[in-house]
Amino acid sequence: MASIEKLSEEILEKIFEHFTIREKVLLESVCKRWQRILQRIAQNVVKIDIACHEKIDSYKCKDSKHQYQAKDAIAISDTQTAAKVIRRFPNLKAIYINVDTLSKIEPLLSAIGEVCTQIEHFEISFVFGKFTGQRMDLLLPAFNEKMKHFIFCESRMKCEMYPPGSVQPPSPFGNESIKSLFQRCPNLEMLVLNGSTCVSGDGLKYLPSSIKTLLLPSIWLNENDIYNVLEGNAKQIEEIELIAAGEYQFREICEKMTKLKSLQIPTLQIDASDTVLLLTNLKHLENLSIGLSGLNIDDQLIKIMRSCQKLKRLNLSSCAISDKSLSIAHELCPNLEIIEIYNYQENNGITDVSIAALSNLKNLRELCIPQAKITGKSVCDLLSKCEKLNVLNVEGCGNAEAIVKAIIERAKSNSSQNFNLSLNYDYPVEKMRKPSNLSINGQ
Amino acid sequence: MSAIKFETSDGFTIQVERETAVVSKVVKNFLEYHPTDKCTFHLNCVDNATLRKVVEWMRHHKDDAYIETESDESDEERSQDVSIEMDPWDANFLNEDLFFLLDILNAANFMKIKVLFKNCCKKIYLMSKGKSSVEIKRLLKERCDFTDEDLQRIANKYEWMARVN
Repeated sequence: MASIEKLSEEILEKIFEHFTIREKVLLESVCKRWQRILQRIAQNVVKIDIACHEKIDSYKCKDSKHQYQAKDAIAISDTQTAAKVIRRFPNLKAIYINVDTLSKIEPLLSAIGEVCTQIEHFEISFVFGKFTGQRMDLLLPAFNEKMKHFIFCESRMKCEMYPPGSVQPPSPFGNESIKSLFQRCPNLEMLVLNGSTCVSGDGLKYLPSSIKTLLLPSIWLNENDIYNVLEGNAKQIEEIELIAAGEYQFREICEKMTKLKSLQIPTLQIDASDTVLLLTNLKHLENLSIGLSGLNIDDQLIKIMRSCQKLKRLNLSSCAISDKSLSIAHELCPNLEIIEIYNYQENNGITDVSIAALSNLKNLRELCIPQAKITGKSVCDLLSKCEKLNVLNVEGCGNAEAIVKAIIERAKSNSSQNFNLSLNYDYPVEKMRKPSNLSINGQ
Repeated sequence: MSAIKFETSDGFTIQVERETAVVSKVVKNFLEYHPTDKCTFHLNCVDNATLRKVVEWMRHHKDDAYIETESDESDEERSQDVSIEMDPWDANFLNEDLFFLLDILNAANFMKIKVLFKNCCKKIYLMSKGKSSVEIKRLLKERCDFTDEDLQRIANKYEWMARVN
């Protein structure tokens, strides 16, 4: 019989790879040999939760190989302790920090800046405080040509009022910081700035040409800025998100970014419906999310879907869509997984005809069509055909009770999946035995 | 019909069909360079009981496409596969006591049967998951060569561990 002592160090390494950070640290006290091996294969991904607040998933690393996926989070009560963790693992490749408040974050940031040299993925999300230029300066020494992803996420944007004469709070980092970030990271592929910053087009014009994903849901770029940012970079960019865009910006994006897979602009200000036809240039588009100010784009949508056959997610808000386009969506874009159409106007032209057609989409996961003129029966039929459907918003739909029953059944038989249902109901849903993986919103 | 023989460390000989034997990368590579119908491999660190178990695994998986395509990935790629999922048949097959598992692990390593090797690692991980270092020491009968002072020093170094939840 073999004993563990006879196993070679290489074999032990392979076994230890499966352990989480916490388990590895505990195993170090088994014997000297184990301690030596464990210290050699130090963990390279860590997720640190300081205090706890609601998780933000919208900018989860989208790396296809999940090589930055943290196996477990270390929940820590203070930043001093977190700094010790970082000093223990200087070879970290990826760091995620989830923190409630940025006050007293300095020890953690200095630890990262002083010891880490291998970082490829850095992600910070917080609720309170400002990520100032000084804080950025502590962090920056850790970044170098290895750095690929920088994700900055403020989980709630707050409107702060200061009476005149009071001490102004420090302002968040701006163009100087972002410029030095770009200089240090010539291979940056992903930049997410979702939160209050002082970054503007002036800083973003130094964007390294390696950039592929550019998500800026809180920075307004004017015509000049967008020209500067896209100069030289447009062809590589695969994902872009902007808070708003006018016709010029939209035209620049659609004409120059030919490799675009994801386009998100919640406020697109264009006057003529035909302008959206620019989207037909984007043959690789998988995720389209735009908001238009009340335009009817039924005919244009048909042409767009005919060109962008790879579409997986279609999110349209405040624009008029009817059965005319939606009832043939399954033929034009058979890969559609998510359809969200928010149109609260009276003349919503989506009826049971579309619902019946959409039930041909085998991969449909989410369907949000509030205020459509549909019946509960067609929705139940859809539910029985689309087995992957787990998010449904049919506010304003009749015969809600049958839908609730159908989705409760589905949630019960699929306990590992979360379900979400929004609709209007006028009877106590609470009394129906609702499984914990289902949440129901409505009046 | 061609057959490959394995000779174990305790002097037994097991005859195996060629299709099964080539699940082992060592055998496969050897036969590629020395085409022959008959040959004997001396496995001087694998005993009879272990080899029978390993051969049973090879027979079950000989037609699986992924065994064949499993190439020599770079270290980087390999280290990414840290999921603990495995084929249910394997999970059941490897329900053995720890020391026998270590034998199988050693054999799989020696005979270069990567999937079996990986799955043994996962199984050993699952067996020791959630146990304290003292329990693991007991489980693996590993000798502790730390002095009490050493242990205290390690405990101090990782006092943050106790404070995290």
